[in-house]
This record gives sequence, structure tokens and C-alpha cells, in this order.
Amino acid sequence: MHEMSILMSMVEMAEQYAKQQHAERITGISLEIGEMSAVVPEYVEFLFPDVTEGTMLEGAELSIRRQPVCVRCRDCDTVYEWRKEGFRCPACGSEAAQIVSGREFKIQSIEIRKEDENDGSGESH
Amino acid sequence: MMDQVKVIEIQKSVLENNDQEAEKLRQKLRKEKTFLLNLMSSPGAGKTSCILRILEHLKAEMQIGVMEADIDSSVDAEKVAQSGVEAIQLHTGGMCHLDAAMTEQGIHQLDTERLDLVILENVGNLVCPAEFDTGASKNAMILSIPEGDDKPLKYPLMFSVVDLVLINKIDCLDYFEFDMQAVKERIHTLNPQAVILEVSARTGEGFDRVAEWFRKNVNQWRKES
Repeated sequence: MHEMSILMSMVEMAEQYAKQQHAERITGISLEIGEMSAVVPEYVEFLFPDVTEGTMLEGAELSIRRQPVCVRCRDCDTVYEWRKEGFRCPACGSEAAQIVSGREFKIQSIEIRKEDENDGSGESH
Repeated sequence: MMDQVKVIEIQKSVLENNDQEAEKLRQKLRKEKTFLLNLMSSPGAGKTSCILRILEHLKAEMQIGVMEADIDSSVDAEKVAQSGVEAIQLHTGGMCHLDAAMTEQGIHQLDTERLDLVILENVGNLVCPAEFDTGASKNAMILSIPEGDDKPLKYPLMFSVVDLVLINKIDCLDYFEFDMQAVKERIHTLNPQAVILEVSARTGEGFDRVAEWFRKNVNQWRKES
């Protein structure tokens, strides 16, 4: 069960960005999880409340986008979906394949909330 | 006062920190001229037995250390230590893989500056270890005959990140329906550069060629540093 440690890194990374913006809370987080990532989205959802408890992310809304596994043909450069074609290029039939996406576990964005300090701080854009 | 809500684009891999740690460790080992091999497989494929065979071939000609990662127990490290090679046990404390930070701790403990080769036996698992860069110079995995020839289809990521695949337990090839040709084609489809060697840790067959692979890669690593 490595989801726990990956999620702890996720919290750390999100907090780091939020602090740079002098945010008080993170109210939402969007993740991208590749279909060939060893991270299981259901576990992420299950663990999220516990992992974020007492952090800036407590109570944040979690959204997860799955990234399909895409493969590039080494012979003709066609990019195709692994789930549909397996490792056989639909254009030329070659089985020489390279995985180009579907392995990621990324933070796409966070939504932060901060108190507007009525100007003077120079922090807001 | 009003609350202000704002969306910040990040678009960054959560594993980026691990990747950076791993790269740092690789640079350190490059300077020390220490070659680190990360060895992965499912449980029972024969990681420890293969390591013992590799040590037999190489321990007279280079300084070797072994790091055994397991969730618990130290049986593997004890077995290796009996062969006269320095071994330490890393406990992952329930974790299913090693990350760069844990590997670094082991490297520190082993005092690698005087070593030419360190073999890291990762936790038995074909899924998660493929995901985490340990900082190794090269990655290897073992596929054993009883596991079946369809493993590359089921665990494509693992087979696509390794430099060397050992197909172990070839002494029992007659008892299993294992299509050697098909498995090699499946591996090369995912990973055309992978070197595939057939071995038997039980009989010792094929380990002269494994030892050759190590000599070549350890030398190459030294030259690059």
C-alpha cells in the first residue's frame, strides 16, 4: 500500500504551493492519475480524508482525472490507445511500442482560499 | 474582509521529489565509482538465490555489498552474509517498494566509497517498485518459469523500465507450459534494449553470462565517472 506515502508527498507538495501564495486553506485539488500508474484512484479517495486531516487540505474537494495509456509506434510514430489496441499499431501493425502517457500521478491544480487583506500586502495578483 | 478563492495550476508529478533524490544519489555513486543495481521480481522468483550465484562469480574480483529490502525479517541478509559478502537489511516497514530516500540510507550505512558494486534486492512485487526510481545505475528483474510467459502482458511497466531480465528456474522448463520465444518477443516489444538471459540459480547454469553483463556494466560506469 504505497498510496499512503504518495498521498503524503502530495499533501506536502500542495501545501508548499499554497504557502507560497500565503493561502490559509486549500479548498480543492485536481489530480491526474494514469491508468498504468500503480496508484489506485479508489484508494486515493478512500485515504484522502485521513491523510489530509490537520493539514491545509482538510475538507478539500478532491477530483481525479484518469489519463489513458497511450503508446507510440516505434516504426511509424502513430500514437494510439493501449486499452483499445494493445501493443499493436492500428496503422502499420507493428508491435514495437513505447509508452508515452498513462504512468503519471500529477497534481494538476489546487484551489486556495485566503483572506483578502485589503491591499497593502503586495501578494495578490 | 472577504475570502478570496483562486485556482493555481501546478501540473507536476508528485513523484518528482523522489526522482530528484534518485538523481542526486546516482550522481554521488557515479563520483564514488560504485555501480548500484536495483533487482526486482515477484516474491519467490529467486532474487536471493540469484544474488548468491552472482556473488560466487564476482566476489573475488570486485568489492561488493548487498542491500536486502524486506517488509520485515533479516533472513535474506543472513544468507548473503554467510557467503562472506557484506550485507545489510533494510526494513521498509510495511511499504511495498523502496524509494530513493530509503536507498540512500542503506548506501550510507554500507559505506559505499570502497565498493565497486552494490546489489539492491527490492521488495518482491512487480507493480510498485517499477514506479519508484531508487537512484540505481541500472535496473534488473527476474521472471521465473513457474510464473508464466504472460507476465510481460500483465505488468508492462516493470518490463519496460529494466535493462536486464533474468529468466530463472530454466531447470524446470519441462514441467511448465512456458513459451520462451514468445516471452522474449513480448519483452522486446515493450523494451527493445532489454538484455534477456536464461539462468537457473539452482544449477548455476547461465551465470557466467550474467557475470559478464556485470563486468561490462561496472566497467562502463567507472569510465563514465
